[in-house]
Amino acid sequence: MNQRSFKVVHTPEGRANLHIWRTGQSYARQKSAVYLKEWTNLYFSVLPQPPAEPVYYCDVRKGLPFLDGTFDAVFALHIIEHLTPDEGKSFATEIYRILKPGGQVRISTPDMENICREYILQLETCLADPSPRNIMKYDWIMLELLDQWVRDKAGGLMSETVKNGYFDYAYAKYRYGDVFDEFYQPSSESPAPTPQKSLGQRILSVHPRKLYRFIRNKIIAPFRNNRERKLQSLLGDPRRSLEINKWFYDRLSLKLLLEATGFKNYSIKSYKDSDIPHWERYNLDRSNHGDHAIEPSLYVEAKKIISSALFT
Amino acid sequence: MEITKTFDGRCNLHVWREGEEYFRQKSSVFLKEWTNVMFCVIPTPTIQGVYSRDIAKPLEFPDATFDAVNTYHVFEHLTPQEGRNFTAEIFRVLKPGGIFRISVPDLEHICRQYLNYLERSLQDPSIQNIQIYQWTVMEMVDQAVREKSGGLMLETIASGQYDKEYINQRYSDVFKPFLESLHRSDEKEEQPLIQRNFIQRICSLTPGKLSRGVLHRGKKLCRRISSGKKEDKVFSPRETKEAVRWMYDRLSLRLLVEKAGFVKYAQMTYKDSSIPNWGRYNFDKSNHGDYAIDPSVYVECVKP
Repeated sequence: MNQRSFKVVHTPEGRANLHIWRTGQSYARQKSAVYLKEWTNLYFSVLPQPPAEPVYYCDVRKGLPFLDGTFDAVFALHIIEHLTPDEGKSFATEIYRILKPGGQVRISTPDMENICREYILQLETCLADPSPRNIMKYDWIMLELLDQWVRDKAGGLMSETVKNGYFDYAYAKYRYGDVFDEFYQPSSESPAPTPQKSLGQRILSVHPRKLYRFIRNKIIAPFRNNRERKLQSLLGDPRRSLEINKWFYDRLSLKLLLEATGFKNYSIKSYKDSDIPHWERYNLDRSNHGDHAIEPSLYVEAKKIISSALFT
Repeated sequence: MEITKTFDGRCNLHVWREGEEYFRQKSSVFLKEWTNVMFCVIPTPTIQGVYSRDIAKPLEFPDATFDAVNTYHVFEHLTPQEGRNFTAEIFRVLKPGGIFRISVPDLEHICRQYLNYLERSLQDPSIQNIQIYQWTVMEMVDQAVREKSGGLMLETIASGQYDKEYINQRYSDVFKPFLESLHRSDEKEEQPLIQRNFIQRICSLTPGKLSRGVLHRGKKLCRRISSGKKEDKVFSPRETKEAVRWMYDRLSLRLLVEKAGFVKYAQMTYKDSSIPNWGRYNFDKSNHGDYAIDPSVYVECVKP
């Protein structure tokens, strides 16, 4: 498997850390670039993509392309909820395999317990006082709870709701942190009024360069670039691009999962603390804009401990 | 579609999407006295007195036809938009003053159960608590994400890692036939199969067996060719709409029906209803005792 040739990057202290995520370009913008230089970065993508240093693309459902006992720490950010329970189990086993003895795993995922409690809270608030603002919040938490599992289109009902402006900004920001801004900004720019032109005007105003670009992108490209076309069809279907959530986790189910894999010393962390040495240098879960989480989630850590009896 | 009338001359419509099991749980009175529409996407042979339709499409009834409409576990299989369209359709086919009853799985209850057993398992991680906890997790998500019919729920039941008492109490009647059918298929599989290799199998062939084998395979092949391979196609739960597309509770149902124009929203139990002579049909009550067929949230509203 030629994927095993992925280069392992070391921190200045000589530690090998692996960082896996799938949230797209906006994620890289929210972080300092330090981790790009000092960590090995794996981007979870369903479609095989050429390795682009310093980030490698890989379908984590097919295993992690590293040798046994390679890393001191592995951090999987919002990956596990996009896998089915069985895939999640084998993913945890793969992390266990590539960790050195004593290595640390950190997993962050949306916290279902928190979402459910918030849902019950909003439901009760609405039943007591069904004001439009309360109902708006209730509708939002309903989306948060259900839309990620059932959506048919990329973005789903959530992006439609944001486009329609039917949401409470403060509340959405409280729920999603920085991620919401990234999500919200492009859609606020898009409804720029384009002047309506008749067909005749449109034909007359065609610039040769525009015409060339149109032919290249719309007519030639689909035939020539099979990968691009595949990617386009994939991105449209959240089930195939794995945008959709396949399962959910909370502090208990992650514990059960990690302990069944063999991990020990399970603990729940906040966005800013970690047992990974020099965490404050990378701070992968903290916003660049202030002392808050990029996307409020559940953060857990566990260790691969192999009892010393085995070595003696 | 023909419209059936009750003994006292009322027109009632009943919509559901469960399979055969549903008939066994109910008295057959409703088949004779109600107009019955079964929600299915893949065409199925018509059962006497029941029409099967894809209700994501408009209903084929004229305006103001019915005195009452009962939808049993339908809305959770529609997307929110389809759900709004379907509600508008029901508003259309109801007479003024007509009653609309909905029953769907109760998201609020499922959520509370999940949080409840999460806390219990954190305090006391016994096998029983963890199994119930894992079941509540499944109840929240498995019906929405499953890729095979039955999903992880069926796998869990087949593996036996569940708490019988809890599930009985949650699903009562719906669960029993499901479990029975599973055990029946288990028994079939348990017939001793003697593994033989290829040469042994050839040696044991008699002319009779050989001709039967050839005939059987040939017939199968012919059938497959004539039916255009439809027989072998396994539909995904999303195609058959087995998959849950949205979920409701007492508040979101209220918002849904009031937006469509209904009034006098009220929450009901499985055995009461403002539909006249409800006791005669009792769609939500078990035949075997005084409990709900499938504990759900039941609501009713009226077209003004």
